[in-house]
Amino acid sequence: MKQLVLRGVRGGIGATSLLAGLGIALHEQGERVLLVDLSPDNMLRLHFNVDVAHAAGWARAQLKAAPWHETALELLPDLHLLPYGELGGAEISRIEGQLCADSTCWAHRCGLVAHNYDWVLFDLPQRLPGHRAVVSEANRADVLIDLATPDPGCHVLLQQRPRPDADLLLINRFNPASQLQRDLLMLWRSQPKSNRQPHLIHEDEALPEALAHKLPIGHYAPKSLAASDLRSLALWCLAQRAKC
Amino acid sequence: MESLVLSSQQDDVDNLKRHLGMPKFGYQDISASLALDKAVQRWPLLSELSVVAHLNSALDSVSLENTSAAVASRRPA
Amino acid sequence: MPNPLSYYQYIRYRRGASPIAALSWLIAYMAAWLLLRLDAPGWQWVMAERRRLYPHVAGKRPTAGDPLRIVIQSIWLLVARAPRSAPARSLGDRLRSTWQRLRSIAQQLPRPPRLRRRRPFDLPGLRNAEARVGRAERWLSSLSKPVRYAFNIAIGALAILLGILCITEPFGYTAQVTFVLLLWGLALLVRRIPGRFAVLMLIVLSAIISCRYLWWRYTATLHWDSYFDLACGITLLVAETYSWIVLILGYVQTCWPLDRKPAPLPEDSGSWPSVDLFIPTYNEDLSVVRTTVLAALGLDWPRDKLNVYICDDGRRDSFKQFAEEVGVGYIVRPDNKHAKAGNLNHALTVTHSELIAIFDCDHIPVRSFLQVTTGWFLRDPKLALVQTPHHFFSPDPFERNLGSFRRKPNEGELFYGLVQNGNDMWNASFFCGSCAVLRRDAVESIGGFAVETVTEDAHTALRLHRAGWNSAYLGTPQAAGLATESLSAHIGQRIRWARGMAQIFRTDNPLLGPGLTIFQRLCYANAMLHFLAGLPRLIYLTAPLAFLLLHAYIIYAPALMIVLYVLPHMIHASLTSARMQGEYRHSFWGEVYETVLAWYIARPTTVALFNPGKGKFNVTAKGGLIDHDQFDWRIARPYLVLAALNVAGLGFAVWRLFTGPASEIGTVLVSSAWVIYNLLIIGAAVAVASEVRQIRRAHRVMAQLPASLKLANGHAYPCTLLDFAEGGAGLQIPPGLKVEMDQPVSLILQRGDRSFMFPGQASRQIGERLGIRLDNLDLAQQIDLVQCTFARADVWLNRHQDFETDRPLHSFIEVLRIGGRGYHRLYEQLPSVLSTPLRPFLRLAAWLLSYCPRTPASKSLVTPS
Repeated sequence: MKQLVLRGVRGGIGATSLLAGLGIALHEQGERVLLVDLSPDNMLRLHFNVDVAHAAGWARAQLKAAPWHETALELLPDLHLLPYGELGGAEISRIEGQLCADSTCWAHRCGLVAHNYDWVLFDLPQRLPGHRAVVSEANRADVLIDLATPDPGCHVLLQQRPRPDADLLLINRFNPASQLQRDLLMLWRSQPKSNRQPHLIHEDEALPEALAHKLPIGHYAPKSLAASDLRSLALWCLAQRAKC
Repeated sequence: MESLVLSSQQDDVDNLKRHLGMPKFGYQDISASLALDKAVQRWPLLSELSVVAHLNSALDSVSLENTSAAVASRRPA
Repeated sequence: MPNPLSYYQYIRYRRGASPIAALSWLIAYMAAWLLLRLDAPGWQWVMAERRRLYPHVAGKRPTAGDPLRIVIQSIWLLVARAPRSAPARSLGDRLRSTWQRLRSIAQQLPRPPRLRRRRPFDLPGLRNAEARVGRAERWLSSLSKPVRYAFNIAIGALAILLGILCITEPFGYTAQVTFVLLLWGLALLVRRIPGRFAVLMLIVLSAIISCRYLWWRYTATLHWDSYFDLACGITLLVAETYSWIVLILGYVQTCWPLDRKPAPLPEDSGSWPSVDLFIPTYNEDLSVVRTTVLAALGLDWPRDKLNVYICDDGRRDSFKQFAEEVGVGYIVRPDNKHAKAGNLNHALTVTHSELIAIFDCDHIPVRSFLQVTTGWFLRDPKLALVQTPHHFFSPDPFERNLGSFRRKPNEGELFYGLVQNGNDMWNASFFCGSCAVLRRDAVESIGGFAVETVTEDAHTALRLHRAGWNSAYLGTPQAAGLATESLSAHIGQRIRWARGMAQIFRTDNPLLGPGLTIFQRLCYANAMLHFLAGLPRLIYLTAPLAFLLLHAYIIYAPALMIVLYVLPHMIHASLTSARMQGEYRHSFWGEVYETVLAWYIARPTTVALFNPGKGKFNVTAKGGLIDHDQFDWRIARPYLVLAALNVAGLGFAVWRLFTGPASEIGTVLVSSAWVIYNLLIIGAAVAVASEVRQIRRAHRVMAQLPASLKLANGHAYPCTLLDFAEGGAGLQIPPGLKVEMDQPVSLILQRGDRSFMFPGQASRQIGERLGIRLDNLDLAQQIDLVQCTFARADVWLNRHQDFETDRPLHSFIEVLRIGGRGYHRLYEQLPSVLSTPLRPFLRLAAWLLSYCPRTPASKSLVTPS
């Protein structure tokens, strides 16, 4: 079982959509996948046609001291989703406090389900360090992918070298018509000493449309370029697992 | 693995090297490095950041050398 | 029990057969039903595959002869070529399983790994040949030097003596038959051994047989009693001697191709030499020159060390403007003296770089051109020239009119694939005028490019070699261009080359004069002799007529003896060349190429040989269009005359058969066979003369590249780039995707790890194929587009992948078939006054041909159960 995290260098760059798409792409390759929503926004479920009103989730269960794993939803055989659950601001802080106190919480939980899944994919919030324990130096996930869009803001943030080092730099919404984007991509590719070889997801209208249809991209528009890019990302993940 | 294979075949110079049977043929992608220079010069933010990045990497390499030297000195002769 | 009446009615009324045809089918059906077990799986499979196995019977209206056709085809399928994917069947199955058993036994025998890789089914005894040779070599090198020397001399002397004996010893019928069969068997065995030893062995065998033939011709076949016979005989003998010389020189030239690899450049690009890139032009369209210049601008070479110049002898404003716009140099001169050579010489006076790269204006370099070619200049300070092949991405007239484009190696393939590679072994690669890099010092040391002849390139190279400079040839195509469009333009170009070569042969003969090694002389001599092939070819095309029409004994020997000498000579030569050249020219295609040119180069070369000053430079026209199918009567005329003569010869042959003395029957038959062969080769020449329509101005280059398509609504799709041209591309798009015509789309292409996006318009969609126009690009985008397509480093590397493999017999039949097609096209072009009386004969021929067995398609239409 491998843990995989998509770490956006900033918010709003499509990390949740891509994680949903990657989950589907890995599942298409015959992998057993668990998607875990660690973000209080509780958005990941919306990519899989879960009702907006569906309030259950692992965090809510944890607050009620109920078994967390019973909130998991089976989307397809061997493709499972663990939503966060609808929580208020104070409740989120309580969860954050618990997670900070027990930073190996999710590592431990992964250990419990290790024999059921090949991949556990985490969707992270932008802040809340307790929720982000899976990207801390101590508990780093097996596969860590940095996500950026080719814009100057991300460039500035990438220069600060988020720690720990990621295995791959994933670039979302790449539009080769833009001079600036091409230039930035070239610059990122040329970065010496960086083992984060950039991988592209092209800008594709099918991605936002997929969310509007409450479907992951691989199901909404399987022939689209974005879906094809995600499939090749899934293949990279499999190759990466073979390496480690 | 299809698309991974494809992406490795996309590089025309790699294909040429394979065709020649000279995988170590030292090819310099001059047009790419030229385009890179232009890219950095085109945007003031990028050129400023690249100066900083160069400094950082220079510092890194110095500290790396120091540590490796330290490791070497610790090793018994 | 089937119902005969309903079967008859089915054939008669549902399939529309005549009563006799229906009856014949019925009888065949009943016979098959009585004799064969039709419900067995094997027969069921045959039924399911009938369209593939019996292509000439399936799907047409049943006729009375069909059962016979089916029987003939079945025998052919069983005996000659068992279809590969066939499952168990009665007789063929048993034959095949025996064969497979033999093969599996053979595969289990031990063999050295190198042989196993190259050719899976060798005869067991020959498998260890290479290992044995290696052992012998080791033993030889273990001897002391004088002993080895003496041993070599002794072996050499023995070989020469044996050779002389084999060549000069007159044999009777039995001895000659034995000798010929022995050598032939040896050649057939040796042919299957991989490696160069086998090639050398084949060459030796072929040389012995050919020398023996020529010796016999000189000593035993001239009719000294009749002056007329003697004159005809000697004419033919001279032509044959010419062919013999070309054959032997060709063996020397290509026996050991060098296959040179590029030399890497030093890592520091500051130490790389500076390069001036000249693009000479005279009257070509700007659109043609444009792509070349855009590609040259993207060459991977330090910008401060590369200067691109358009050398415009047309002095056109549009070119000057274009040069300024893209930032390349523009060179003009006051006069047009000495055409291209003069143009280049003038450019030399106003530029300064160490190296000069030359591209004809329609040859597009790929971006790696300079890094691949220049390394050798740094390694060898005496190197003056690096030549690369001229590759063409449009079909030449032969390929277009014979439909062989991308299936068979074209005319130039032999020269650039093998001859230049062989020349390189002897330090004798020629300069071919384009796609080459030269050292400025070297060119200036010989006084610039040679201007005395109309082929300045070969003459310049000859002078460089004379002055002690070296040359190199790299066989990797690093540039490509347009082939000549029409047959007349193609012939015009060859006339110029032939004339120029003849001029050099007269004014600066490579066999004489200082500075060349013996092998350089031979290579140059062969190149020049090659262009003198016109007259000998015409002699071959008419020689049998001397006997049939005029009753002259041109070869004064019994017919059987002639066969016993000529056939082995031809068979060995073609076996050897199939082994040496098979990849670059298919057997017998050379005959077609030569025959088409023969008439046209015969006169200019002869004139140039006697008067080298005559003849002016004519520019090769390129980029023209042929807007409808047409028959080039002007070009075909000499071949029609030759064909008529040969037909008359056939008539005489029939007359002589019936009225002539019985002792001449053999000679008449041999001559008739020769005439028929000549007729078919002439037919192939006629087939080339019927020009196929050509409407596209920009030639599409086939490709298989990953690409993406983005529509105006923001949706993007992965696709495959199938072809590209100036200002257009063809894509394979995902199934089910509909693209509105004329809507703006964007094409995303990659090169290396960079992506580029080009705005365009959807122009047409057929199923999953989408054509897009890319004609509104700005300059930077145009350069990027050329860099992503024509100038990719790997774009011309897989040009051989669709070539069929050469099989001499197959190739022979194909050339003959092309000959037949030539006459058919000619018949279609004839006015009805002439064609109507011919019609019955044609019908008869077509009817007889319909009984001929066919080769089934190799791919099975249904999977065997």
